[in-house]
Amino acid sequence: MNRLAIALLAASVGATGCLDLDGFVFNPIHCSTVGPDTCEDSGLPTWDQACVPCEEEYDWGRSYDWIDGTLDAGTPNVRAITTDVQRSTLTTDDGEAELDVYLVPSHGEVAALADTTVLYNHGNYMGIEHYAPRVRFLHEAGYTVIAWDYRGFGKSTPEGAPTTDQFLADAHTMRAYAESLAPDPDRVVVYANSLGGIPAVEMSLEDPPCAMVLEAPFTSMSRISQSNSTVSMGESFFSTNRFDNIAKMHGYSGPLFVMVGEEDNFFPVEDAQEIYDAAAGPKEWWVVPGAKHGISNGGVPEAGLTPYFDELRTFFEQTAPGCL
Amino acid sequence: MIPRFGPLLALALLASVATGCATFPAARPLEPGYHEVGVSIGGPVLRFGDGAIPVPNINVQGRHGVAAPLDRPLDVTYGVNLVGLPFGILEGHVGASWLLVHQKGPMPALAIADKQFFATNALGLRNKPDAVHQGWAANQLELYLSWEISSQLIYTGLTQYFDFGNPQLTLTPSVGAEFDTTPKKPGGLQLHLDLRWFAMTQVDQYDAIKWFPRPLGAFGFGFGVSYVIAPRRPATGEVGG
Repeated sequence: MNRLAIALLAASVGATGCLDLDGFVFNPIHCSTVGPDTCEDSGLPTWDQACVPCEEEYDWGRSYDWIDGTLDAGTPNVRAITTDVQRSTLTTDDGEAELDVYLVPSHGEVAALADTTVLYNHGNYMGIEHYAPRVRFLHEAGYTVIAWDYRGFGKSTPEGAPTTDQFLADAHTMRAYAESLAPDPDRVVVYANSLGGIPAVEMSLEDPPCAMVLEAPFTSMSRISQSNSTVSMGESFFSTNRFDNIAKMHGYSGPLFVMVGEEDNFFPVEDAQEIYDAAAGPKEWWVVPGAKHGISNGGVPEAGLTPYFDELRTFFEQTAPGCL
Repeated sequence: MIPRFGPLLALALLASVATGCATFPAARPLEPGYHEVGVSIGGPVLRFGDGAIPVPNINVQGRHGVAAPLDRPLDVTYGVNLVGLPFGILEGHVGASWLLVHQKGPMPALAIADKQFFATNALGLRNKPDAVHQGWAANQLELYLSWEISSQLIYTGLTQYFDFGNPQLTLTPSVGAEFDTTPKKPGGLQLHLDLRWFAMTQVDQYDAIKWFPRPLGAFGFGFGVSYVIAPRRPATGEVGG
């Protein structure tokens, strides 16, 4: 019995300090787990339902009851994607995963934007199915869009959230792949929504893209903690330090556009401003009146597509002309 | 509503490690010569999915009555939080409490207590190559009114928790009780129940961690077990001289 107690004590000491919170930022739904419980029987709003199993293709023309305020006189509707969406699979560098990637060609009606490619890094929930409306918005504006699912999200394999190392390594792999898919590899905009800020910043540090656009970006574990509990413990208390976007932005010198909802309910405006302040290059900042964080409660694009389109284009024209 | 960052329960757990949750209240400082050791569990209540759960903080603590300046008992206390250890966080506290006013009939006793919290992430650095050594400290100042009735204690208190890295007004009212399981003998097993409203002066407006209730602070629940060791009674003839 004493030997068992000693073994347990040794094991507990050995385990001390092994854990961090990096893995807790993910909230995927894999296509293999999709069914009535995640779809029509889930009781969730349409926006939050996961309904497309692995063997079915996403419906890029799906009808949505757009959230009030999304559409306006300048943008009275959001078109279905009728261009030839090109789906491909990207094998990760470690050979352990296959990432689901979609190239959505521009509709071509806005010539200045047609060869500008937005590499869309989505938020932490579900997968591309959840963010399809956001892809539709960027398509409506006239951009080419590339969207990808992180390991374990949507149709990317294997099931289960990535590790910190995998998540960051896949970001670099995806950036290179996106440039191979884009009509003009020098005009790839790295765009992030929420959690997507982690891979977006990671893939942009060493070789800045023509621009990085951060919408309601992930800040850091310690900022989340302080905003939600007032506790000021540093980043290394919670994390491996590799998701600290505020610190990492000090190493970014390319053009930057940060958009954050005035009423963002996850990452406060003042936290997003720390990311903005940390960047050294040309940059713009937009606090979006009335906008919250997510899709279903009305995020940045849902606060009005016309100002969203206008602000994006103005940023490219004035601060990141290399993207056009 | 989908808990989009619901898995951040663990973050809430770690955040609350620092808030002094579930440490023994110091409503009645121990008389000189008394010693107390115990464990307590509990913390602020967190919304999780459609329900709510108290964050299960665990503290191991000790208290010692050391003196009675001005004929008022003064004790010292210390403890370690066990929840942070798997994450490589060593968090502990030291403090003291002093009885300012003795109870007189229905007039309650008044005690003041101060605890200093310290934390370091040093234990976890070997597993986090990119992490850096960091420290953290906070102060907790408390006032308690208490009534002892047939050796059982009830109290109400007000706490201000002061994080040196992010000072805020975090007034926390509390009520609680300490049950003496051996009321006819000094010392023995004690049971503690503590209810408090953490940081009721702070607006909880962000959804990464949802405390309960909204919009102000978080309700808290703590339960503890301790053992009080009474001083050995002086034998006849040992007193005086």
